[in-house]
Amino acid sequence: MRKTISLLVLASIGFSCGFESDVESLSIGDDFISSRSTLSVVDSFTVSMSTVLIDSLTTSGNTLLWAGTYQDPEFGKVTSTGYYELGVPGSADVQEKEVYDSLLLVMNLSPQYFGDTTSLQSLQIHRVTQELKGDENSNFWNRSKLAYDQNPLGKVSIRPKPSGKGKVSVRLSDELGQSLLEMLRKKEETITSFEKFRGYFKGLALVPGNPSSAVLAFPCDSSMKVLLYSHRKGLEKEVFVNTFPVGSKSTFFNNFTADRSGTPISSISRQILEVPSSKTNNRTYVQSGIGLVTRVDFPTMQQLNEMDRKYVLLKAELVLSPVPGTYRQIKLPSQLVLFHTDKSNRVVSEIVGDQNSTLAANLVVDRLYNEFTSYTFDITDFVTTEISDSYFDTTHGLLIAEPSQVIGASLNRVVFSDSKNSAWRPVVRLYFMHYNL
Amino acid sequence: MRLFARVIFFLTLFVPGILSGQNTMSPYSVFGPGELQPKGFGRTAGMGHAGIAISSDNRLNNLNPASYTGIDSLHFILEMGVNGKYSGFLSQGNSLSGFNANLAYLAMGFRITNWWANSIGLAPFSHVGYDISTVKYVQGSNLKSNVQFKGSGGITLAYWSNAWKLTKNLSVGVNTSYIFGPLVQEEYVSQSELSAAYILTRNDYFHTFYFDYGARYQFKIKKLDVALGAVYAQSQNLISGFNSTLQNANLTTLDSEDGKLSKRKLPETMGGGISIGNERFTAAFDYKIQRWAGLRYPTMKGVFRDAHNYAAGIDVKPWRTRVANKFYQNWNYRTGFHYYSTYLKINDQPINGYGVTLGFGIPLRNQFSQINISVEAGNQGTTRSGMIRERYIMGHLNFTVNELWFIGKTFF
Repeated sequence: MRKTISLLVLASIGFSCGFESDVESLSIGDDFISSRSTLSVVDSFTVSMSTVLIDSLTTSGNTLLWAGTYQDPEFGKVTSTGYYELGVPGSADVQEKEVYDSLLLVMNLSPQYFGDTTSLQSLQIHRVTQELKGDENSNFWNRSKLAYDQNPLGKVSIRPKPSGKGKVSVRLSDELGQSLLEMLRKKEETITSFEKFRGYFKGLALVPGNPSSAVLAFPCDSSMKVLLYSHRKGLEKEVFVNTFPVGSKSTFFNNFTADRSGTPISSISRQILEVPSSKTNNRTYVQSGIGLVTRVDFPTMQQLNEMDRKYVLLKAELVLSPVPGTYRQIKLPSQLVLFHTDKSNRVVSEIVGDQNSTLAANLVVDRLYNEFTSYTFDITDFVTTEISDSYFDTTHGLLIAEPSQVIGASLNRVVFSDSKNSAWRPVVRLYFMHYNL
Repeated sequence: MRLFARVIFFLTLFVPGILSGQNTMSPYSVFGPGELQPKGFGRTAGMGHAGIAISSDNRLNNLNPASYTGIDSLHFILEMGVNGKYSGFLSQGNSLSGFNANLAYLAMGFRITNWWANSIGLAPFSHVGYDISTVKYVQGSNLKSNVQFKGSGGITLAYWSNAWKLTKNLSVGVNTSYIFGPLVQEEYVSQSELSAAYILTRNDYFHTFYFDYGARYQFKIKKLDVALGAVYAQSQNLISGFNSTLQNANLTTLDSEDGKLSKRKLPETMGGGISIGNERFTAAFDYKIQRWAGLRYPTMKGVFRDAHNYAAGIDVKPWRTRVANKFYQNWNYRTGFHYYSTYLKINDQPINGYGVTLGFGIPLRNQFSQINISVEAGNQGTTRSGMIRERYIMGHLNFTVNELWFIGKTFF
């Protein structure tokens, strides 16, 4: 009997079990089953758009000095003045008999430009009369403006090659050249130490002259230098060059300005006052350097918290299309990013991906019809976070701009279409999995 | 007792590992409580599963709880069975086949007094095991997603039967069963472009008492033993709880729900049977109806209809048992047929089935114990209207072990 019981116990353990051969899963039977999940995409949420002018953008720390002015059909007259500090020659040996020849500013021309470069571009070099100090964090802002001597040290007319590349040299004032040579000859402390020199010679300003129809870019690196030519009289003429490099990589900056009169956004002034797209021709604007950004809001997204069926938000995408015809001459920026913003249009933080990677929307170009030329932003985290407390705060929006490392260093611009234009309207696509437990 | 040891040895060989809980692979098991398992042990398995009117003599018959009064007073009977089933499925050009095996049941029976007998056992009520893949569109887009449904589990009955002999001819019985077991459905949703991967798991677990009743009336017509049997169970609630979860691909639970649900019912069941025989043969015919119409279960589409089952079988012993017999002359030979309409009607297509059985009863050294082997070939469903046809061959191996139980007399 005991064995019988142990047999029963043993068999009970194995009772509900069995084994089967490997069977692949087939679609046989799919008509029978009622799924408890539904995947769907909804693109009917309203996207409202406006343009915000950021009060100040930091433009220091970039690699290019921009100088010139151009007329943008969408953004008005855009002007940039570049400022930089002049350094001192590393070692100088100037003798008594040395005779001054000339003083030249030599720069490389970057292939990047804005405007029309088919005609002569005039550029003036001025002596800055105000110290290049920046703010308490040594930042320079796009609206920072420094005083400079109204009499230019030199002028040049540039005719950019079609390739865009080239070298530019500007003959600078002989008066300055002679005094610099004199200081070098006397080995004055002012010219042997950069710290002293920057107090004496505050810097150079690259100011657009007349005529100017383009904003040109010059790399602010070792290729940008002031050359002091001199010679010694002897049996043969010996030529000497003393080089004044860029003084500090951290103190050069660009002052970008725009005269928007006559454009739909002429009224924009303060950051806190966004201008809705309805007042700007159903368009919104992004212009780096100047500080124009597009604000996007989702006024109806509170509905997400009122849905009948449970759901997981799989993905949220925002697709914005530029207005065709606004980017014929000036190419669209290749990447745009999103920043969190609040009711005062403050730039709260950049929206990043996993491990703080940049979560940029790349430009997709539809070369054939321009119809699908657009930027697609991943706003999954933004929406998920906003709805996580069952309340979608509609004062929380998104600002669209170029990535922060680029925004102060270019004049790239985009004109977006708002929802009035059905062909290029903004779309927010929400992918859901609805489910029943 | 040595025989028991051998049975154990044999089982450990035959049911290796006993790994997964999956006992069927029929897509039809997605419905309701799963694929219903036929009742009955080794003898009736060879007789087309007919036997409501058959008595339990040296072999238990759980088709009718009244049958146990036929147990010989000195005997303690143990029934144990193993099933192996090879199935081929066909639907709209897709085919699928596979084998699965499991320990089917375990039961014992004994008589307590002249008029009172008992049996206890474990038997499957239903099995669930399916794996169905579908491709669906993400609504509102042309993206496709994959959804895979995996079902497992099944319902098991643990029963205690009481049979009473009311008169010389009439016995009645009642099964008190405890129904338990999970029905599990996992739904794997994946969409690669959205890098979405989620698992919805629904686990319905049953724990409820269930009662069914039987009666058996036997008499003689000339030299023939004739018996009439009837079984009945009223519709009963399946008390169940459920646990439902949503998990992501890292198996982090995102949402879950626990609850009680007693909406599901087991149907009212009625059956009748007749058997005719003498010591050389037994013939049986059964009819059974399960009133499924109007019942509903979760995670399935479609509605139920009443299920009917017809079964007929015969058990023959061509030679009288003699010591001088050749081995096969001591065997029982059985055959039978059953036809059934299941409780399913899908796309207006009734799902019906039939099976033909062939069986042998091989006596063991103690002549009351038997090894019963049966083979059933069957067909269920149809390929019409996009349905699935299953063709199967099922082997069934049963041990009926009789022990002389001397303490039985003094038990009460």
